[in-house]
Amino acid sequence: MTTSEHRHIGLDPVALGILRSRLQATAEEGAITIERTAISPVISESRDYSSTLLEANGDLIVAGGALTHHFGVCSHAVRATLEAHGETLQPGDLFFANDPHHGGGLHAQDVLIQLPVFHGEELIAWVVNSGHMLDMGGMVFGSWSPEAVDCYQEALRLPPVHLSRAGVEQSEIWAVVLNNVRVPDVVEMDMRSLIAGVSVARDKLLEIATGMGVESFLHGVGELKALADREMRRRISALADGVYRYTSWTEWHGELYPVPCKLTVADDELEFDFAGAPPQTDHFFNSKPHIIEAILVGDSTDVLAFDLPLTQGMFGPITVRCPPGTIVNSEPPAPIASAHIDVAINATTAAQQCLMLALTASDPVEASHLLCGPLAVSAMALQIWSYLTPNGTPNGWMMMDGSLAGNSAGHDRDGTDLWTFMVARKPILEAIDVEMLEWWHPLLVDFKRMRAGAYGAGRNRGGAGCHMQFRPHGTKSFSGSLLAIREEFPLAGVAGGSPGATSEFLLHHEDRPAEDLAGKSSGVVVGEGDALEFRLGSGGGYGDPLDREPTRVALDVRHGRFTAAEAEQMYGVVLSGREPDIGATAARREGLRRGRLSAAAPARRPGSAGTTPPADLAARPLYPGVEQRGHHAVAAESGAVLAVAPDPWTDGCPTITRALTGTLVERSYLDPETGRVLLTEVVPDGVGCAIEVSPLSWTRA
Amino acid sequence: MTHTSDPIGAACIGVDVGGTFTDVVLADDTRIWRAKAASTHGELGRGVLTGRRLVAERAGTTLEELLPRVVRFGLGTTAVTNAIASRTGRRVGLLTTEGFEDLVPIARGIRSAHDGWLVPPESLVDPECIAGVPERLDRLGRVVRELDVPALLVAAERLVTEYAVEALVVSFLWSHVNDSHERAAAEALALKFTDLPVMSGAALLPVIREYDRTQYALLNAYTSGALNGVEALARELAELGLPHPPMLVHSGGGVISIAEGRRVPATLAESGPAAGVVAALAVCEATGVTDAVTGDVGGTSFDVSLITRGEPSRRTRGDLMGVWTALPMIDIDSVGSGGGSVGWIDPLGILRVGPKSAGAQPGPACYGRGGTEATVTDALVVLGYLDPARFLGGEIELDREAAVAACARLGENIGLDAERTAHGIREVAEAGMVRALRARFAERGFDPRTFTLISMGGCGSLFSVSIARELHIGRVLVPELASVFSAFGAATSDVRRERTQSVGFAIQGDPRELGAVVDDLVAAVSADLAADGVPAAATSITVGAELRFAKQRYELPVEFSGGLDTASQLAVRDRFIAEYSARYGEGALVSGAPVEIAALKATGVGATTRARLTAQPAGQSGPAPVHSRRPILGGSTTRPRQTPVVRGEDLRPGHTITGPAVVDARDTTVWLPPGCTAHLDSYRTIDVRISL
Repeated sequence: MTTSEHRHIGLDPVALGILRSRLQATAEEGAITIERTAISPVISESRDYSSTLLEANGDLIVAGGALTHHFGVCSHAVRATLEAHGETLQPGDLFFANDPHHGGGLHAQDVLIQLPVFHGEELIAWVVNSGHMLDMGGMVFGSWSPEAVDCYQEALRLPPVHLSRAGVEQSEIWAVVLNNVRVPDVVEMDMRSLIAGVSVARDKLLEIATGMGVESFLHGVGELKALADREMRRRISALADGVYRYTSWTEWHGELYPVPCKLTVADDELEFDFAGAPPQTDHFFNSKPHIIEAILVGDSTDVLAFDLPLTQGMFGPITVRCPPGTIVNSEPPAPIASAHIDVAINATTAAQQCLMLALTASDPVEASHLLCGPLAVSAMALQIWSYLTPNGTPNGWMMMDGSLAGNSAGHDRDGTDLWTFMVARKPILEAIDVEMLEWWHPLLVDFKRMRAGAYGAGRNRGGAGCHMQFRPHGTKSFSGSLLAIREEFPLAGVAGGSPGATSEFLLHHEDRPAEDLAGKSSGVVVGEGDALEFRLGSGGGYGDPLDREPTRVALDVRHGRFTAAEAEQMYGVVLSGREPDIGATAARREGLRRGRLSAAAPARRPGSAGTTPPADLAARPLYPGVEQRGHHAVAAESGAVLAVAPDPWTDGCPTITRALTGTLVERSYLDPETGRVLLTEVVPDGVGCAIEVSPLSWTRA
Repeated sequence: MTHTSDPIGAACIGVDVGGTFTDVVLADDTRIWRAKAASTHGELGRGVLTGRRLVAERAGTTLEELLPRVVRFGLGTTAVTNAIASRTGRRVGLLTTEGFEDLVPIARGIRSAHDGWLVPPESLVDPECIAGVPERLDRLGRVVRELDVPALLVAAERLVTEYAVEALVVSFLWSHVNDSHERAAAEALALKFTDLPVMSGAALLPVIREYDRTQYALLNAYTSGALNGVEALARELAELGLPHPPMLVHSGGGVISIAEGRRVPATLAESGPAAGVVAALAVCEATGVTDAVTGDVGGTSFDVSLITRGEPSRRTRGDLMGVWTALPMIDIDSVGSGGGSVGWIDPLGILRVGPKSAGAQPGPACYGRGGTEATVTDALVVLGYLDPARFLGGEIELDREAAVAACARLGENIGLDAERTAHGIREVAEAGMVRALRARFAERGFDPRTFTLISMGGCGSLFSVSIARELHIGRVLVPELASVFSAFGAATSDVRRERTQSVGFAIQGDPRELGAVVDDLVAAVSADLAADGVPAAATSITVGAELRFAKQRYELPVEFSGGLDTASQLAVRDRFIAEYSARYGEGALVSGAPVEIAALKATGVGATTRARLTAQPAGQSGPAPVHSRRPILGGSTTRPRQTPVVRGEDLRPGHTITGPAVVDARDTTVWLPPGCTAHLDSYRTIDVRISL
C-alpha cells in the first residue's frame, strides 16, 4: 500500500481492517519476542506472559499472548504510571511496577514493563509487557505463601518506577530488584526478555503511525474502539433485560467466603455487582477492583464476543461494582499474592455463569451456542517447590501440572480433560512435558494420568483433572506451598449435571502411613523416600446423568474413566461385556427416577396443579429444561407446572439434599412428574438456592 | 524455454504429484522442459506416467527413448500429506511407559479455538489402543524399573486381537537417552507380530520431549500404508528402461530412497513445499542471493519460508495439518490468504479476507463453477490485474461479470461499489500476508531489509512487489519456473540425510562424551547415505549443534567444524551469543548466563547429478515490447489506469520493464507497480528492483 492515500483522517472499513491487522501483528511480535528469549518455563513453555498496546491515556488497543487476564490490568497500570510520572514523562523512559495495591499487575510476580511511545515529542501510545517471575522475594520461594497475613511479608513490591530515564538504564532499581529475589539470574533474563519485547513492539508501532500519519493513526485507533463499543452494545441489547444471580464460594480450610454476583441486564449495558462480599481478610486471596474487572471482562467477552479481539470498546458497556473494604476491593495491609486466583476466579466464574443464565433466558444470539458450566480454573491447585542445588543456592519451580484441572461440560459436549477453559478466544497456557520437568529439576514423576471416578456426571460429563505423583530424585528434599482453590467445595453442574471433584493431596512416606494435606498449605516437605500425590478437581456435568447415551457411558468405562459399578450407580447404565444392556438400562434408570421422587422432600411451594397453562401458549426459555408459558414456569419435558410468576421456578421442585461435608450439601431440584433432575447445586447447609433467573419477561408476566 | 532439436543428454526428471495436477520437469545440461497432467486419485503411478509421456513429447522424444538416459528421477508426492489431512491412516496401537498412558490424548494441553470453544487436537491413536508397560528410566538413562517383556507382549496381544490395530508403536520416557528398553521391546514385538509394522520413537528420532517424539513415531505408523503403489511404479519405470530407481523428496528438502521413505513415511509429509524451497535455493545460487524469503500464494494460503546464508530455515518440531510432532523439516508456514480466500464483513462492519476459502470447488465466482462469494482471485479480475482470457495460460476462461457481481454483493453491506470492494479485498489480503511475513522475521529475529523476496507461483506475483515494499525489501525475483517449482525442486534436490540426538550438555561439557555422540551420528549418517546409493566420494557430512541459554524453549543452530575440545566449545558458545544478540538485541543478554547444547545433529549430503538452472546469453537490451494496454485499478483508488502489458513469450534476457506494468507470463502474472524497474536475467528470472 502506498502511504499517501490514507493521509485523510477518516478511515473506511478497508483501512480499518488493515490498521487492525497491523496492530495485532505488532502485539504478536512483542509476544513472540518474549517467548523466544525468556528462560523460565512458566513463560517460555506455559506462556504466562503478554504484550499489550495501549492508547496514550491507557485505553487498551489490542494485545498479544495467551493470557487475556493480563490485558485489562495494563490499562490500570498505565493510568497509575501517568499519575505518578505524567508530568515528567519523556522519550526513552521505561517503567516497572509490580504492586497490585499500587499500579501493578495481577500479583507481585507478574511484573509490568511499560514503555511510553513517543512520536517526536508527542506521547501516542504505550506498550506494556507482563510475565510471571519465578520469585519476587518475600517469605517463601516463589513469593506466594498462604501463610502471609499482610502484603509486606509477601514480596518486594514496587510502585511505578523508572527502569530507564531518557534512555539511561537506572541501575539502582535493577540492583534493588535483583538484591531481593532468590534467583536473580533467572529474573534478570526474564525481565530483559520483556524489555526486548516492548522495544520490538514500539518500533513497529511507530512505523505504522509514521506511515499513515499520526493523526490518521490516532483517529483509526479511536474508530476501532468505537466500533467495538457499538457492537458490544448491540449484542447486549439482544439479551433479555432483568436480573441474574449466581454465588460462588472461596474456601480457607473450612472457612467460607461467599462471592455473590448480581448481573443486571438493562438495555445495552451490563452491570456486575458484588454487593454482599465479606470484608477483606488476612488471607492471601484479597483482590482489587481492577483485577476483578480485567479478568471478568476478559472471560465474559470470551463468550459474548468470542469472535472479536478484546479491546477497550468492550469495557465501555460493562460496569463492575466492588464494594470498598471487601475481599474484592481490599487495601493495604491486605495480603494479595493470590489477588487474581481464589476470590477473583470465583468472582469471574459467578459473573460468567450469570451471563450464561441470561443467555439461556434470551432468544438465540451469536453466543448461545457456547452454553457451558462454570469455569473450571478454580479447580486447579498450583504448587511451588524449591530445593537446594549441589552448590547450595536455592532453585525451584512452579508446578504447572497443578493447573491441569478438568473442564465443566457444555450443552453439546463433554468437558475436556486436563486443561481448564472450555470457552475462550484462544488457547491459554500450555502444559510441560514430563521429560522437560525432570530435565530441569531433580524429580521423578511416578505417574501422570487422568483422574478416575464418576465426577461431574451428566448427560454431558465433566472432564478429568490430573492425577500425578512425584518424588525427589537427585536431591534430598523439596519444600513448598500448595495453592489449591477448591479444598472441599466442588464446582456445581448445570441443568441437572452433578458436581465435579475437589483437589486432594497425599504425602506418601516410606516408613509410615500416608498423610492427607490441606489444599492450602505451606512448609510442606517431601523428603527422601517420600512421594507427593495429587488429584486435581474438575467441573460439573450438564444435564441429568440418567439421560447420557448408554453407548457413551460404555465407552467411558472402556477408557477407564470410571468403573462398571459407577456406571450403574451414577448413570443407571447396566453393561453386558463392553456394550450396554439396553433393556436392563432402561429399567434401572426408571427405577432410579422413581426412587428419587419417593426420597425427595416436597417442593417449597408445590400445588400449582390445576393451573395448567394452555398448551398453545408460546414457550420461552427460563433455564435449560424449564420454560415460561404465560405466567407459568413449567418443566419442558413433562409440562409439569413449577411456579407462577414472579416466584422462582425452583420453588415447585421436590428436592433431594445430600450432605457432602459437615457444612456443605448437594441439593437436586426434580421435575415433580418424571423425577428428572433439573438442577443440582452445592451450597453451605442452610443456604437457599444459589441461582436466580429473573428476566423482566418473567417477573412482570 | 528453448526448443531445439539437439538430442537430449544426461537427463534429470522431477515430478510433483499434487492434489490437482502432476507437474513434470525434464532438464538436461542446457535445456528445461515442463508439463502438467491431471493427478489421479488413489494411484501414485498413472499421473506420473502421463505427465512423463507429455514432457518427453515436448522434448521431441518418447518416454521409451528418454528413460534410459535419465540419470536422476526425483519424485515429490502428497500421498502422505493426504493420509494425514484426511485422517485415513492406519489404526495404531501404542505401548508406552506405565503410568503415562494418557499423555498422548491429553496432547500437552494443546488446544485450538473453534467457534468460541477450545478443543484438543484429534488424536492419531484411540485411547483404547494405548497400553502401559512396566518400565522406567530416569533422565540420565538409569533404570528405575526393569522392562517387563512378558507384560509387554500380553498388552500388545490384547491390542491386536481386541482392537485390531494395524501397526504398533513403542515409545518410552527417556528412550532418547538410553534406548535399551525401547529397542528390546520393539525387537520382541517384531518377533511376535511379524506382519505388523513396529516403530520406535527413539529409533526414528531420539529427541527430548516425550509428546513430540511419540507423535512422530505414531505419525510414521499411521502413514505406513500411504506409499502403497510406489514399488509398483518403480518396477514399471525400470521395465520401461529407467536405469536408477526414483528417489523421494522429503520435508527436509532432500531426497531419499524408496526403502528409506517406507521406513519413515512421515518425513514425506511436506514433500512438495520443501521441494519448492529447494528450487528457490537454486535460484538463489544462480543469482548470487544468500538471504531470501519465499512466498507462495496458493489456493487457500500464503506459504512462506526463509533462506539465510544460502540455507533454508529449518525446524525440528511443529504442526502438520493439526498434528503436533517432532519432525526435522524446512520451516514453511501456511499463513494468510490464498487466491480462493473469501472476503466477508465481520460483526464490526470491517472488511476481512479468509481463512474461509472457496477452494477448487466451487472456487472463486469468476471460475463459473457455482461460486458466489467474492474471493481474492475475483478481486484481481475486477481490478484488471488478471486477464480473464489468459488465466493459467488460457486453460480456464474467467467470468469477469460474475466476479464484479460477487464483489458488488459483498460491498453493498458496507456501502462500497464493486471496484472499491475489490480493491479492499486486495489490500486486506496483502496486509494479512505482510503480517504473516513480519511474524516470521520476528520469530527468527531477522531484519527483512537485507532479504530478497522470491515469488513462487499462483497469483503471488501480483502481490510480491507491494509486499516487499511494505517490509522494506528492495528486490523481488520471479523465476520463470515458479509454477512448477516443486517439480523442479524434485529434480534438483540432493540426497540429504539427517540425524539428531538430544544431549543437553552445559558448555563446557566433557569433550569425550560429546565426541562420542558426534562420532555415532556421523557414522550413522554415512551408512544412511551409502544405503541410499551415494558413493563415498560424493558424500559430505556437516555437524551442527542447537544452542540455547539454559532452560530456554527455543534453540539457535550453530554449525561447527573441528573437534569439541574446551576451546572449540567456547568458540561455539561465543558464536551463539553473537547470533543471539544480533537477533534480539544486546538488552536481551545477561552476562554469565549458562549456555547449553540442546542437540547435536549430523547432516549428510550426497552430491549426485541433479538438474540446474541453465543460463542463456543476454541477447537483448532496452525495454521489453509492450503488447497492449489494459485498464488496471491499482494504487490510487479512483479510476483504472491504462497499463502496459508485456507478454512473457516476448521477453528476452536483457529486456527491461518499468512499472507500472503487468507481465502476463505463461502461468503467472506479475504486477510491477510504479516506482520499480525490472529486467529479465539470463535464467529468465524477472529481477525487480524497488526504490524504497
